[in-house]
Amino acid sequence: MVGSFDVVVENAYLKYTFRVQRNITVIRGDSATGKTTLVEMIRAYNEEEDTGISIQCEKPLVVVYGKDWENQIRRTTGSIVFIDEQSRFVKSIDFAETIRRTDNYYVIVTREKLSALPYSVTEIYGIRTSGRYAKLVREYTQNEFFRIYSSMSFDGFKPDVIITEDSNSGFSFWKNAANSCECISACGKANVLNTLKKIQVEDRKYLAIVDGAAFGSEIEEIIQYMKYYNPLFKVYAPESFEYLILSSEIFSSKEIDEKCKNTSDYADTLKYDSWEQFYTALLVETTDGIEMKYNKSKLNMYYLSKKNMNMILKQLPELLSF
Amino acid sequence: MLKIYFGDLDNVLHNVETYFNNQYQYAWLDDEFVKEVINDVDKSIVQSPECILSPVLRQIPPTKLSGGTKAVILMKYVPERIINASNCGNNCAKWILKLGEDKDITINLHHIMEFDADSFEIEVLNSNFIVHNMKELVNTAVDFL
Repeated sequence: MVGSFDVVVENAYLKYTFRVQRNITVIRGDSATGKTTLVEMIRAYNEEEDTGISIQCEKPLVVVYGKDWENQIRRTTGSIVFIDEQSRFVKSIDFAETIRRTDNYYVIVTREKLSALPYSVTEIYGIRTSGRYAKLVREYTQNEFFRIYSSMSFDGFKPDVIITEDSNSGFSFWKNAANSCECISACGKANVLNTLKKIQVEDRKYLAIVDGAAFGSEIEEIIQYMKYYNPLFKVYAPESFEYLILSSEIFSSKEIDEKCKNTSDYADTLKYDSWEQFYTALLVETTDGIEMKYNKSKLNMYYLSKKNMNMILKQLPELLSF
Repeated sequence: MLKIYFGDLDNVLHNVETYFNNQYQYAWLDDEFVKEVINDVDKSIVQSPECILSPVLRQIPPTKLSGGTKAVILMKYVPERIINASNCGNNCAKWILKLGEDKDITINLHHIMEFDADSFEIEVLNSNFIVHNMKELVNTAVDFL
């Protein structure tokens, strides 16, 4: 599946509007915001006649539930699949394997950490209701998703220590680029917070650099840790290191620019588990056989020239410096 | 006291919705604590044990309450079961804390719930530590999630 899809689900007194644009979207947030009602409406629309529910979307919306979930998913193609929070199977490795390289997008209602799934930090949503929610009036209530983890402010943050998720090319780059900082690899997204806990000392500032496109399962704990335990810890989560290279001035290609800006139209879920994989494949393919040949395991020295490093670093958020 | 086990645990009641829908008692809806929870979390008014007035869903039976509210009600009335409180949003946290003030309840969490209080006493069963604020809770919980 490729593309970005606007969805409207409504009845006489509720209207949900949202956009689904990646393989996995997670909905969480406060109780009684209408998450389960949304899924129930879609299910009723599909399973019953004359429901009084209308759905507008280019793709069919489908609900998967119960013990037969695996067969339901295998039978489903070209659809946006919704799964409610009572479905324990979403945490399983079996589920992660079943949805890999399928021609569907998945919208999952859950507050739990889905470590086996590569979802983006930007595709975690709550539902915000507007209108006179508390009043007993018959009118439309417009529900829309809002992003739970909005862009972080860096406020002139200058880290003493950088912790990278990556241990290969990404780590090599940041170690060279931020040579006034100590640079440590966590060797994987699941280890970032534990690495911080092991090394942190009072009054030192820590910056984790992670691949936002697949870091969704880890972000909540990190945000909580920053909020309550260590305010001298921040996270920079660009889509991925490969994305930073592709969208820098190193490439002056309209085609690459288009693919970075409208990735949902190109990152086919039949080929890629996440946009992170897509960017890596695009960079490897684009640089194959030429001086700037990219290798994820070992960084080509081309990217460590002062000129090219600066072009990549130009994309750092405002007020973050090394 | 409120006790929390973080992460996977056997014999936890995960399917809160279906369990509540098949086990709730009308008398539960007559309880003042339950009415307060429904009013605060679901923004709804209990008109009678069979009928709740929701600003969005209009008149509903108890089976149409939110999953979080159902979980809190089960924590009160079925305390012998360990409820998966990841069915609950942060807006349920203060009610879970309140329940823990009156009796021992044990819940299971697969995420870090925000208990919006300056201080509390919660026993984290994974480590048998008692934590007193969110800073201590977060620092302990991240080791088990």
